[in-house]
Amino acid sequence: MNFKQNGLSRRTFVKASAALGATAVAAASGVKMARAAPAELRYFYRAPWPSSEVYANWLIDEWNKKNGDRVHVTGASVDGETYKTKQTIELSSSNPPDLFYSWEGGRGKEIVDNGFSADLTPYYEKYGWDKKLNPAGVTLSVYNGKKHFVPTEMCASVVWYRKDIYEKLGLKVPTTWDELMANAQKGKEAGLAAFMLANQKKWPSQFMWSAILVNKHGLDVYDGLINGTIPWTDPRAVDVTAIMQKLAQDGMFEPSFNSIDLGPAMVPWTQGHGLHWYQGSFNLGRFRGDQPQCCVVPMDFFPMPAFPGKKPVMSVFAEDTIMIHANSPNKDAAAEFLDWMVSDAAMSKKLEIDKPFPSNVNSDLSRLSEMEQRLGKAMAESGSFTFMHVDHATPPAISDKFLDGVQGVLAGAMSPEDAMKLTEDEAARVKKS
Amino acid sequence: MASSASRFDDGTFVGFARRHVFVTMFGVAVPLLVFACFIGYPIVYTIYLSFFEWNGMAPQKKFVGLANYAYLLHDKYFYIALVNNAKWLIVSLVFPVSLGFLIAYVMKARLVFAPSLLRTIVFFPVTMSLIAVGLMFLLILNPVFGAFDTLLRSVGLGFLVHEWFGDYRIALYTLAVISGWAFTGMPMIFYFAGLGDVPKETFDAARIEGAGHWRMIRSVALPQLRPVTAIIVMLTLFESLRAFDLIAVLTKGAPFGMTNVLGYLVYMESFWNSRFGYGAALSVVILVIAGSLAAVLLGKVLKGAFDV
Repeated sequence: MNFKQNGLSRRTFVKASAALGATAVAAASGVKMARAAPAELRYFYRAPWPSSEVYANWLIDEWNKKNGDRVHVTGASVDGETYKTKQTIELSSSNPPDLFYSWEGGRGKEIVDNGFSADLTPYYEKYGWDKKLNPAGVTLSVYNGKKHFVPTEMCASVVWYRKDIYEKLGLKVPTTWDELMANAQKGKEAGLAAFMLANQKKWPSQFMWSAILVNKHGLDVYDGLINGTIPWTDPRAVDVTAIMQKLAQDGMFEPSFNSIDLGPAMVPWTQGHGLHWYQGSFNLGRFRGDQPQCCVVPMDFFPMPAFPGKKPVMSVFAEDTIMIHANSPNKDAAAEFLDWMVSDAAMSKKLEIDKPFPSNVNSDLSRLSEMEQRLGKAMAESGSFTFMHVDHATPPAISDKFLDGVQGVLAGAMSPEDAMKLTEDEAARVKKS
Repeated sequence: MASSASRFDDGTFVGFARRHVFVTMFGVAVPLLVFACFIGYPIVYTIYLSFFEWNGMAPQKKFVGLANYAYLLHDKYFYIALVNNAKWLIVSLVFPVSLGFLIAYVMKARLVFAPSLLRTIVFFPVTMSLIAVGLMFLLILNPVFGAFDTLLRSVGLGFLVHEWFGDYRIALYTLAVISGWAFTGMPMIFYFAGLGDVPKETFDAARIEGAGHWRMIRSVALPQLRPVTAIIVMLTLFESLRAFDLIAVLTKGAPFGMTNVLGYLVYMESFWNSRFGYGAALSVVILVIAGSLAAVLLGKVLKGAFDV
């Protein structure tokens, strides 16, 4: 090779080669000298709504921008329906996620009992989560005296009603069950669905069932059913199922209620064909539609009214909850990321991108409509945990049979007694195993 | 060489293997190994798992012997799913298989305009994912804004409008018919190919003898297509037992478990209710049912169908 001809001296070539070699060696081994590799966190979450995904991505991106050189987070999501089935596989794998979404109640207990969830009590103390998180959510996180998850979204179940139709029919907000039934009857006579149910996926009807049971027979009875100290065949559980059956037989629900899912049910709701809808506040995402503030139609809420001689109880529960895997090598970093998730800034952003309600009671709710702010305040002031609906409270095997039973009753294919027996048989099997 | 060949030519597999090393390796050993790893091992492990109680999370499985099978015998959901699978199979045999045959026949007999176009249209759904098919029919049959009900009402057939997925008396048939819609192209293409192998002279002779289309179908086409029918019936049988996708998308077993089939029940029990042992027991039962039905069909109903 003629170096002179190419304008490159032998000395220059040797120098350049040496520099290149040194750079390569430095690149291969020297990065560690300059900076330690960041801790890698895997966050496995459930994304039931498109906005859930957008918000999770924002959370991760913002974190990585600020802390990615120290603690880098990678997210992986599964849609709402299939998350439960994927979760088992992920958690028991040899490379489990550091942080993961978990349901509260029965499903959460299964995870805790199988040793997948780290005790977060020390982190609650370290970050002061007790003080800033919704008390109901904090109470729900306790299993065997230890806190196992951090709630990131809280929900309440209330009776949503069409304000404009109420005004048109001259109805007043009911304060008792009888008044509610009288309003429902007037709605029905006006050709409306007194209550929207949208029970295609069989879980929506449980909200009304749980609320009627708690308000009519008391929270202790409901807790007894959930804890297995009262059998599901108890006359009080049968009575509530019979009330639901009667509502269906009297045509109080929308036509084809067992064939319609929540999304399509928004059509008759917005068209003014429904008067009430007892459902969780997670539905606010749908009620809000494309608007920045709720709602696409004039509507408001009231808690499930009281039965004679009873004080009404509003169901406040944790919709989104995050655990740290017991085998995570980076628990401290994971807790730090969790603290970011429930920070004032992140939770306020959640209201902008996702749906209410944040678990952080200090979150700025001013972005929400007056109605949503009122509900958020009521939830924050509701004190400790009230009750969860059945499929959050019990293990999936039991709730699955319960939901089948109630749907069967509503379809007129099963008696309330048989539906509760179906549930009790499964509860007995689970207890035995 | 000749002497060594004769030395190995003892009529045994070893002899064959020594003479045909490449064929033995890649034609027998490797496929057997692949089968053992990806089919054999899962089957054996499923049978093993069916004797345990396991939630999929606990490190230890609890041996329960035949308890899962005993539970299965008294499980109402199992029987509902079993009967639903039978109904699904019957609908699949009656609707897509018969329709597929008829379409193939009318195309072959040139009784329709543009048979190639028809063939493409009928076969197209076979190429679609059942998940996509399910989502499409979820919209078409929606009781609030579905096109099908609107169409029925607009042509004065409003009395036929039903809760296609919500009415427990018809929901399963709705699913089976949707599945049939997606599957019709498969028997059609098999029969179309099979009819091509039937000698033209046979049809010509029948026509000269004065046979009409019905007679030709009954006396010429169907007997000649027995091997094809055997394959299609077997495929339909296994397709029916594997039914899962449409149920997962459209009903999830609702209303109250009345649209559960065995495949979906396995999924529900294993992954939703965290009963992997019981799910495995159900899988073993599906295996036994599929094997038994295949044996009966091939040994009795379709005996000799492949002897061509």
